[in-house]
Amino acid sequence: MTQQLDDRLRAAFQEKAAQIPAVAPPLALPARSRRAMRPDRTPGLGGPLTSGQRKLVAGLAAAIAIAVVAVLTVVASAPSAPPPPPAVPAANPPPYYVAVTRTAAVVRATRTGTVIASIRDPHPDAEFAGVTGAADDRTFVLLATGISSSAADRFYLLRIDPAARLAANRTRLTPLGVRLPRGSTGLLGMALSPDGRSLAIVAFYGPVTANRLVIYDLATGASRSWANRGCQDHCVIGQGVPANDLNTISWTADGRQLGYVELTGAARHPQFRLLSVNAPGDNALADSRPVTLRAAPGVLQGMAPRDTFWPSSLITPDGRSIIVDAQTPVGGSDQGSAPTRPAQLLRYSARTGALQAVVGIPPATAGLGLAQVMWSSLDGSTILAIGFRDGNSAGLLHDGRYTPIPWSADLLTAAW
Amino acid sequence: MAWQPGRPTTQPAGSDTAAAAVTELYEQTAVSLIRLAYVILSDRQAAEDVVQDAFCSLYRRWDRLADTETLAQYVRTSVINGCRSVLRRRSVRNRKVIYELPSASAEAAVLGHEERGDVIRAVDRLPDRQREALVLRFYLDLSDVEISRLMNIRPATVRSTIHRALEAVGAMLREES
Repeated sequence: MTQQLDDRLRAAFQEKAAQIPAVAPPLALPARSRRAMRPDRTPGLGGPLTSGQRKLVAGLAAAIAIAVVAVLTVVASAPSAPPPPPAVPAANPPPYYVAVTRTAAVVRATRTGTVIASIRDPHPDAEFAGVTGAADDRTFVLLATGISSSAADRFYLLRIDPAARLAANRTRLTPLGVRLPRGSTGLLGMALSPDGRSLAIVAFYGPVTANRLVIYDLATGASRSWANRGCQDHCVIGQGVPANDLNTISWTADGRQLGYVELTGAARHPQFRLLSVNAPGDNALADSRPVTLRAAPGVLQGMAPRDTFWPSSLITPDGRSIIVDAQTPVGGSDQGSAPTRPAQLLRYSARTGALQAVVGIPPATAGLGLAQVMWSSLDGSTILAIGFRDGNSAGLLHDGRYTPIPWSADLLTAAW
Repeated sequence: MAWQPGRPTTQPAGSDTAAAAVTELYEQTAVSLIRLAYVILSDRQAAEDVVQDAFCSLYRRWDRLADTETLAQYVRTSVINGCRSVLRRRSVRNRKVIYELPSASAEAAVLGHEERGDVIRAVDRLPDRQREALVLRFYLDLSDVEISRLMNIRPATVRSTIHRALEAVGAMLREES
């Protein structure tokens, strides 16, 4: 049966591809700057520096000069000198994070990128595919996805102790008793509550059955779930997510509200909703409230936030703001193929939906790249985002400024 | 950048080394890349635009690309990323299944066309990630490792994604029959 289906898929794809004629339209290249038109490109270490390398060298030289001046200044006036400005914004992310790499899960230091511990896949039949963290920077939940068709997804509790002298004592991995709901075929999102006691997920049930929000009590294994009941207008919990991230839902610091996105209406506009997790029902529509983000002049080129697409969004821990990574087609075109402007990380009021601030644009996301918001300070004034383009990157956005943090292209996803 | 028939090129091919090299690569690979994008997007215009964008990006970044051996791979990755971006935009707009059955010239072929059309329509109803994994596996015949690199997920996640996608497609086909 499976082999038959494989063959049917191959035949169907080939037939579909054959509809494209064997002659491509002419290539229309854009104008390049004179600087970029050097014909004698010589790649490799021995060749002349590329523009990027020259910028890097210039940047390093400037950084070294500034560092030398700063050190001399501090040494010369040590007793009375004011403290130097912080290298990163005041509201720093937690000092450690857990990342999933292509071969394992690792605990790394945020500031230096140092690997504190490495955790091997829990079972030969499963490998880590996602991670989420509590507010204490010590408690995480890892998702291990089954390799074989019979192996189910499993969740694991990870406790870290970065200060432990022996590497073996820095992590403790414990299988959790919670499983994906019956009938679910996968996850669209997961988020550990700030107190580390509850795990929220968005469960996908296939194209026909409605998605559900599920919250597990990790101590007892009990669960509650919400689906959209009585929806008249195509409301789908959980939007199309980037291939490698499950941080599509987010908690407020008090653990009372869960932020998520659903697609609504025939046009499938994104809508941010806040679920009251203490509400008694099981209808997500009744137990949540929508936050209608309002358009602001000059932002998103005149388009309403709902007309953009959102690779990422979250509720800030204080529950007052919503961070949206909004991308807009150039010129506001409604054509699906139009190129996009770089992502803009925008902060909106969770109460009124009014724009509060343009948090910034991660430099690594220009063009067709995207940014995934991974962490927010209490009030959303500092954001940690991962950019996907030409190798991953990560950095802090604060007051419109971007401060990169040590990162590695083999990190697939991470949680703070 | 959308290609429009008859629109003059802003940069004549061959005016510099990069243009010549990019144009040559385009001539060698564009048709197969447009077909790949079309299988993912089910929209010919969007597929052509994505491929144009990928080559324009290659051209702009020419000086920063160190290894000319991997240029074809770079463009293919750009095309797949471009398709992913289009799908995301489409996911917040009116997602239409644009695929239509090709016209059949012989009656005997119609049943086969319809059957393959059912398969494609089932694939179009999958989440983006599952559809992408199926295309990379069953259209490009890529390995788990190659797909994992393109999708930025681990090989086992590729296998489980494909397994779930096959289950979903099988269920939809059984439902329709």
